[in-house]
Amino acid sequence: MIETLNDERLMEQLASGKKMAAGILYDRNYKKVFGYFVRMTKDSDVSRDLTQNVFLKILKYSQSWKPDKVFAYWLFRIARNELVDYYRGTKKFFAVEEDRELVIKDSTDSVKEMEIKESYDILIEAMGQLQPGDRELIELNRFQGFSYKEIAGTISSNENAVKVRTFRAIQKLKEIYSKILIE
Amino acid sequence: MKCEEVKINIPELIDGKLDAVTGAKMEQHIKGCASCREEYNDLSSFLKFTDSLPEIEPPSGMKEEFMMMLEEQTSSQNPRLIILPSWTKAAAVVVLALGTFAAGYFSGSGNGQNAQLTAEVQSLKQQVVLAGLKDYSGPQKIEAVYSAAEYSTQSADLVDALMYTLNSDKNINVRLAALNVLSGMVSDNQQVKSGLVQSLLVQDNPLVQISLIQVLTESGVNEAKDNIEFIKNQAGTDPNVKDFAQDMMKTII
Repeated sequence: MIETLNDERLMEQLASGKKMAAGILYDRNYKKVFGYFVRMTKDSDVSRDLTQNVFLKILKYSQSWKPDKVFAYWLFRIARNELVDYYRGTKKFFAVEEDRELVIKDSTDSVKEMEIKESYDILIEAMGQLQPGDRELIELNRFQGFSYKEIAGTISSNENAVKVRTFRAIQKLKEIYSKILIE
Repeated sequence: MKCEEVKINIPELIDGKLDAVTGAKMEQHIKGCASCREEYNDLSSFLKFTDSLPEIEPPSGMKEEFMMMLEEQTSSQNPRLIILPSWTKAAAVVVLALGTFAAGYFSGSGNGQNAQLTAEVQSLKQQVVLAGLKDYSGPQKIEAVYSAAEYSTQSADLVDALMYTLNSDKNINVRLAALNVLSGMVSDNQQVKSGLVQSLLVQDNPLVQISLIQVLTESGVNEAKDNIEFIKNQAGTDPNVKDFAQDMMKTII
């Protein structure tokens, strides 16, 4: 039985010159990366460009791929750098954006659905009001499903610190969310 | 266990990520501690809510855009498809009418001018077909794909447009139509051959994958072997496709 091709094996294929492997990596991961950027920037157009840049960088730097790396962390480190570069370029390093049009698709057709959509909108607004570092922890832990250990590896911290900080970030998010609900 | 320690571990308890011993200790503490119980209930419903946030749908065309960029990088000497402005769709009718008129007017004259004009009209028609491949969708696009076969002089542009359709169109029927037309060119066109071999790596629909494997193996394209094996071994490939790939692999060397 030949081992199935996970993202790491695909990266090996890409590193050895099979550029079409990037197509599969893109297909598997672009929605995750796009969602990350949208939640961090609240701007769909910017997120689209940043996502494409991330995968072009993967293509460009595929030669530097080492088999002992985990693709998901590597991917998010590239995505994170891309975001930092973007904010540097626009002189808004991790700044809280003003409210733009929210990106969640409006396909509501009942009061109930409308209420659910509104609560998601408020959640995204609350995410926007978090400190950037806290927002990132929630993004990686809740939306990307990274463990504390994996986050520690991605943001160069230690597992216990990440655990405590993530817990506090969740509490802050809950507070901000409740506050907006009441207002 | 102290309350502070318990609270910090609550998210992992909710996610079921704690080991059994710690989990049991936590549950025991929460049962007997009103403050931690409240925290647990609060977080439990809040995290259930945050985790239910729907995936944000990327804008349409984003994937196709990347695949185009990838394709450009993959084949350096790849001739570019002429990108026609959208007015060409409206102009299609005019051009086809002109074609018919010109053909009628010059029929029987048999001079060099006639041949040249016919060639020009043919080229215009092909441009319209290419525009159709780019801009139409659904049934209109299937029609455009088959028109492409009809006017086929197997130009590099045409093959490119069909290949892009095969790799990027959202509609499976359109992709299959493109494959159908391309399959007629595979035996004597190297561009089609290598394009179809590469396409194996980007297709995700089982029907298209099976059709592609069938076309390539039946046409005896040995270069396809690696990529068929790739599909066969890829996680998430439909079991029927895997079986089919396995069987068809035997037919090529």
